[in-house]
Amino acid sequence: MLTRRRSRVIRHRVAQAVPTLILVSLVSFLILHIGPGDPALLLAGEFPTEESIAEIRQLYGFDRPIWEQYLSWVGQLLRGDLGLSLQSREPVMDLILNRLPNTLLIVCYAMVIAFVVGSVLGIAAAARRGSLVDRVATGVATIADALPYFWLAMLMVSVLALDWQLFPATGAVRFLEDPLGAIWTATLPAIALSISGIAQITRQLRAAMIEVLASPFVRTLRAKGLSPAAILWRHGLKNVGVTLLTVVGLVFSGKIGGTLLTETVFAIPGTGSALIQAAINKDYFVVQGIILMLAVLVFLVNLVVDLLYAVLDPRVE
Amino acid sequence: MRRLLLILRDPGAAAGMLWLGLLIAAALAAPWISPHDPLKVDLLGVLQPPSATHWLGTDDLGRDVLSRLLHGAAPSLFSSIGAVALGMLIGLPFGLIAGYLGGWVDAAISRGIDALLSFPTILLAVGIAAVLGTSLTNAVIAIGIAFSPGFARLARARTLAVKQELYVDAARAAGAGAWWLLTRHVLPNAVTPVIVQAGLLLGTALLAEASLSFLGLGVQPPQASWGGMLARALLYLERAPDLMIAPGVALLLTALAFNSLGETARRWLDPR
Repeated sequence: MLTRRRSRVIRHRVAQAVPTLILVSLVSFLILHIGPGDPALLLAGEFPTEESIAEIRQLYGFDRPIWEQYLSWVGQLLRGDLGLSLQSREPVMDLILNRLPNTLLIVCYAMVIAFVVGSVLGIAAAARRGSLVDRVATGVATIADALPYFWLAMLMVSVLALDWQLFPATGAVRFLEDPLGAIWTATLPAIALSISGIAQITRQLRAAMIEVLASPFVRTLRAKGLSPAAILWRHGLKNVGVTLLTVVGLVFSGKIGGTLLTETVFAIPGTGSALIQAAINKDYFVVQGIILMLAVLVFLVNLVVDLLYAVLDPRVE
Repeated sequence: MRRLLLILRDPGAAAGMLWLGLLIAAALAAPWISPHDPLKVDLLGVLQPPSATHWLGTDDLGRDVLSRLLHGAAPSLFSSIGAVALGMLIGLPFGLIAGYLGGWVDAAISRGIDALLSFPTILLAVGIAAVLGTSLTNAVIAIGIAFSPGFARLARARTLAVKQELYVDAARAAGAGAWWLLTRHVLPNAVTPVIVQAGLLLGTALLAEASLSFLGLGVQPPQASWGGMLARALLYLERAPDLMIAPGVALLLTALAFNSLGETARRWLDPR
């Protein structure tokens, strides 16, 4: 059961989330307007004429005051309308919903890899501090932090997909049509995407576990005669669980950013590769829509993490 | 000085400094030390393996890979430093003002920071770069803006802590104005962790710039950049997988060097 204090913390977090969410939409809206010129000029393409610019200005309402434009944009947004792609005339919302499953599959897959590998490395390093295991784990984290993951992706495609033919080199399989095939195809992208997360989780978990193992209650448990393994698994894990939760939001944000390049290297038809294509083709409504949707996704994951934190951490009391 | 020597005894930090020193020298001297013109196309000698004339071989247009690598060092190095400096210049004042003034100003700036932090760095950078137009300068601006909310949040937290200190109260009681307090007392005491953060972000900035150039949103071809070289290598992954080795290793080593430098700065400035 939630105590009154906890539910108040939760209400406070949710109330704080509303203005932030509005600002997220405002930032996404304003991205089109930060350019040096007139957005109508941006949309008019290669050879703008006076008439075409005036026409576009009227069509999209750029002649109205900016707050009015924002409000009508939000109004459309609430009805699920993000405008049309300038290139394909496809509704931006359809384009996103079509591609989002591919993105979510590799992002979630990468999260799982990052948490499993990062936890194992972090805990092993903390348990045997200063040993070979610790040095290997720290070394892996150091390299993983500096490794350009899109380069790692290319190396994996070259060796594992093209030379040894173990995995498909590019593309994606729809999860709902063929779950196993989809996971198999997503394996290399997910590994490439998980790299920076592995570094973050290993490092955070190692530090948290070392702190727990050095705390007075662990000394008492040790004096009581509890085996090191029992201390590590039963008491240590319970206490670093919260640390693990707080990295979820950070790692998720990194993975969403990372999918832009990962999808591009593996030619996966997801939201990330669509954003890059749209950015290069100056398909601004697609850029705006995808940025908004991905930011809202990151925001919601962080909100859920915050709420879980309020529910699970005894210190909130 | 003795502390500096102790740090240099750390092999990782020493190697990092050495690599960065060589790289800066190579970046500055690239026009003179490059064996070939990095833009010179030679369609009769494309995708050559390493040889005496082309130490690292040639790319898909017959351009000398080593020369392009050397010419790519400058945009990578200077844009990472520029982006981090820009992020700090934008973020620091907002954080100081929010932390110092408190009240609704703080609430407004903090919500703005929260909102911007909902955007993954590279996502925001791609969006801004797309609208500003594709060039290295715009990529640096985009990455700098994307870094700024992180700096603002850190500066705000530090300002809140410093504001409580007795010497700030004392200065205020002695009649110091807000501007004096901010620039003479709060800023110098809040800036260390911000500088540490800047050092730790250099590697991230390097990879972000390489990512944008890789995606075609940073340095524009035919100008040489490491990210752009990797983009060409991706097109020729099947025919010439070796093309990706040199720029990738250069990026990895430079990011490692930046990170070890940042870590060294952290240990030096922030002994905790």
